[in-house]
Amino acid sequence: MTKPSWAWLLCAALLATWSCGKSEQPSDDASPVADAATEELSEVDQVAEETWAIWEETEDPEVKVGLARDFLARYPDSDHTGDFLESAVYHLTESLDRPEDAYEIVETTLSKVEDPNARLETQMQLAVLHSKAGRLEELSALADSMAEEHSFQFTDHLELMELATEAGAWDLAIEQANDAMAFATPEAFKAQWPEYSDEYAARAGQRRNAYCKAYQGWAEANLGQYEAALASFSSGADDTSYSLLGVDETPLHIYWGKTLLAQGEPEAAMDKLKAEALFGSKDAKETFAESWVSTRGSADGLEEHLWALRQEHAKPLPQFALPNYDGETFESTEHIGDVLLIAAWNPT
Amino acid sequence: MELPRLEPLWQKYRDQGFQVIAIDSEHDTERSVEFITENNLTYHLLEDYEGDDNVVASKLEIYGFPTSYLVDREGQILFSHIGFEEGDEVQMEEEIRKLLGP
Repeated sequence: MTKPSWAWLLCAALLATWSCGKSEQPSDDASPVADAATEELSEVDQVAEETWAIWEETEDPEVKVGLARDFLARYPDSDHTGDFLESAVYHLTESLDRPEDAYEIVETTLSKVEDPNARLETQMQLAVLHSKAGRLEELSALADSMAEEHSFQFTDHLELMELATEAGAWDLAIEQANDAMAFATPEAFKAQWPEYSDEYAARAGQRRNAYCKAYQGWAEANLGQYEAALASFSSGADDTSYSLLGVDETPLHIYWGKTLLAQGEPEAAMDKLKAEALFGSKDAKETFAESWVSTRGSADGLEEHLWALRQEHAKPLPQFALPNYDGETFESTEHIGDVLLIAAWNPT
Repeated sequence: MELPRLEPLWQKYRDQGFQVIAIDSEHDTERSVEFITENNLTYHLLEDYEGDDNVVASKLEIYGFPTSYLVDREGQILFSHIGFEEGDEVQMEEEIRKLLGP
């Protein structure tokens, strides 16, 4: 990670299952880093770049936290505030189990930050900490004061929706979903990203709606409002987007399946979950297995059933041809008959 | 990181008609080659095209990294992994063996 792009920030907001899927921007979009390279770097940008270079060289979370802490002590209020805080918070909570140190860095930084964007990013890291600590009242109060101070975009609501969901702050999740729904239109998307086509904006508006309905439905289910939850899921299902293998990019189908299982409808749960269980997250596979056991009394036959479903839902590999680093072309069609493991990666 | 974990799998099963194809989606050739060299990767290493011709997003519909597809001898994608955690290679090996057959 050099500097997380917008897409990665969206991913971070959705990271519970890693199935963060498609970003709102087309993948070939230039990252903000490219702009910086064409101009002469300011001192802060230069130090940030050097710090990230050291950051990448080390695996030690303590060193990473130290780098972020030193940078933020020197430049608390810059375009890099959010990225360094995110790194510090992540490593202090996930690797080092020292949330109190994370609170200290975030609160110290917040007291020094004036730039609105850096303030929003800093407050969002405070929200991350409240969410992880299960401080629901603080999380709700912070969300209110953030909304008052800033003019939120869809992704800000989405991030808070996710944090509320992780913390089990169901009322807050519903409130954020309702507020986010105002942005789930082609017009709202175009207002934020005017460079995209009407067609793209129309789909993006729908996908935003699917995210809202997924979190709203899951919060409703957790509040015992099953009818409302099922209505939310079905109204979002037409708007979501599916991968080549039929996996929902949003958590809607996973939450739908979990809700149906909780309501005593394991067969319906398995139907909603099958693509995710076959090709998506471990969470979905576990819920699918739980549903199976609840109807059949044991896991007997589950693996055979999944294997049969897998054959039924498999998709042919799209044909492609690409060069290797020596300029020789690899043709996928020349390798039919072999077992192929296709791994998409990027070096950062 | 997933890629170095795939090298021993390829070495172990290459004689049975198993291929690993890694597609780099980021167009930072220098960095990719450095990574590949450092980790001594020897399977198929491809670089995606930029823009509308790209394979990873446009054809394979992959938007998060790393993501992998496991394809059987008939050309059907039977397994996929989104993300990678240490230890996932154990499950991958089971799936590869299943598709390679006896």
